[in-house]
Amino acid sequence: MEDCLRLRGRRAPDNYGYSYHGDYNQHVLCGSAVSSGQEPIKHTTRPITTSSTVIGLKFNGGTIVMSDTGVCYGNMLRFKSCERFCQVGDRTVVAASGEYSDFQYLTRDLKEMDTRDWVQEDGCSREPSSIAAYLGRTFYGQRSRLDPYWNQMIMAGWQKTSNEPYLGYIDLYGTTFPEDYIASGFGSYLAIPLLRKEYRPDMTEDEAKALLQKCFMALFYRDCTGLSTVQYAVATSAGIRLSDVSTLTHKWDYKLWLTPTSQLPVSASSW
Amino acid sequence: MYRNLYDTDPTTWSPQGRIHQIEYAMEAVKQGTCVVGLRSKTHVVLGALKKAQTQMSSHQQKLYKVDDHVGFAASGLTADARVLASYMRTQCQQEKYEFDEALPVGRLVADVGDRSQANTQRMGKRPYGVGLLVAGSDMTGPHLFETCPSGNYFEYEAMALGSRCQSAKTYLEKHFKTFKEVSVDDLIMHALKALKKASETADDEITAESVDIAIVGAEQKFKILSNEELQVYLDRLASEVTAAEGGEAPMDTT
Repeated sequence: MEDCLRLRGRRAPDNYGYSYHGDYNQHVLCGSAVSSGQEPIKHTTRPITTSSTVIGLKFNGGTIVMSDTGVCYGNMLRFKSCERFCQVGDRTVVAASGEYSDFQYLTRDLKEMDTRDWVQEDGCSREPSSIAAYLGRTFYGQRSRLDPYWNQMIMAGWQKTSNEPYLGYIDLYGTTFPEDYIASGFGSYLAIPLLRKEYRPDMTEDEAKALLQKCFMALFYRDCTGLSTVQYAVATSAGIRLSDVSTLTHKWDYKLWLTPTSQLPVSASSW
Repeated sequence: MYRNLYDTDPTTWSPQGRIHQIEYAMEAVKQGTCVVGLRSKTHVVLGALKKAQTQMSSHQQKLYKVDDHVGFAASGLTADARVLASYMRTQCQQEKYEFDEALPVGRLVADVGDRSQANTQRMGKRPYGVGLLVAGSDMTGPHLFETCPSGNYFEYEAMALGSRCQSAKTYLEKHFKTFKEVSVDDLIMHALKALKKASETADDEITAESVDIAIVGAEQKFKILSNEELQVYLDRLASEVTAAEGGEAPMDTT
């Protein structure tokens, strides 16, 4: 148990991330486990408090992104009401899965960037695509230092100059691309097939929202780190609208689920 | 004999509250050949008169492309203009790398202003001896700025810098209210006419070799016209002048 916790921590002595240019202070931070001062620098090799799925899709006249509000400590759903959205400027919103503390840090970084923009007082504000590029560079730079921000980010926004919705993806390797529909975390396995089947570019906002709720329902039933309380943000030409937290209605008393497996015929017991 | 005690470096104030080094640098801007800039609703045009050092040499460069969306015309020390061109190009590349976007013209000019100002507050430095007319187009439309060695910068509808620029300025002041709506071709003609005013006072002819014109707009990347492209406008200018001289009511070209 102690071993397990030690492995999860940043700068645990037996992590394998290292950098070839030594920095004395980094070694000091590694604590008493490092005696020689000549060992490689150690970074996060696995995240600690993580959040799971974010799904975003473009509909006719905007972009919608949905996430649940859960943050896990390991596999335990430890925090159940964490907002995973960060609005930057007046027409971009970023939603994150992965290490929650890295997301909190990036939130501060993006807000600072936005403030630097605002103090120019010249009427120019960043496009969502440009904020995505900035985040992509940030992630790529950090991963090149072998100390990645452990997140997958999904950005939604409205491109003012071309007057169209924007949806983009950035991950811990610095991969950056725009897409019509994107899912991160466990949703990239469970939700993508649903989206492939049911997504249309000409959906209305309500249809898009219903599809996302369906995806999160599937995830809630099957992903142990998924949660039924969800929140979504909508980006349109009017700006960003962040919803209140709502709870999906779920049902567990299906007859099949109530019957003990031992009493089911063999063909039905694969569940 | 009179000797100015307060002009040896930019960190010394004169008792009148002036910094002579900066004022001398502002004078250097007036020594360069004339450059003009003018703006319509969609485009900005820069024009410059070029001198050749001798008959055997090439003409000096007056217009600099900084990025696809911005460039400038310089008057003053060409060496300083080149340093600023390099700085501005770096700033634009940096923005493109970090944000995948063109640097807004106003911010680029503010960067140049900050850099110029820093030179006016350090012992052992000297202000840049060059004034720029920066033309560019960004998400807020076309822009024309002037930068000074002092670090000041201003936005204009139309402006002229350099030696004998007063006659060009007079022409621009007379016509600038119409510039908003004119076509690119007419904007270029106005630039040439303004330059002609400045060159006439020096008894110079304007030719495709001695003039440079650049255009930039939302759909138009910054482009310095080739001699052939320029010749078309010069021919038009010549025919307008002949028509004015031969006609009953001469066209008002003042």
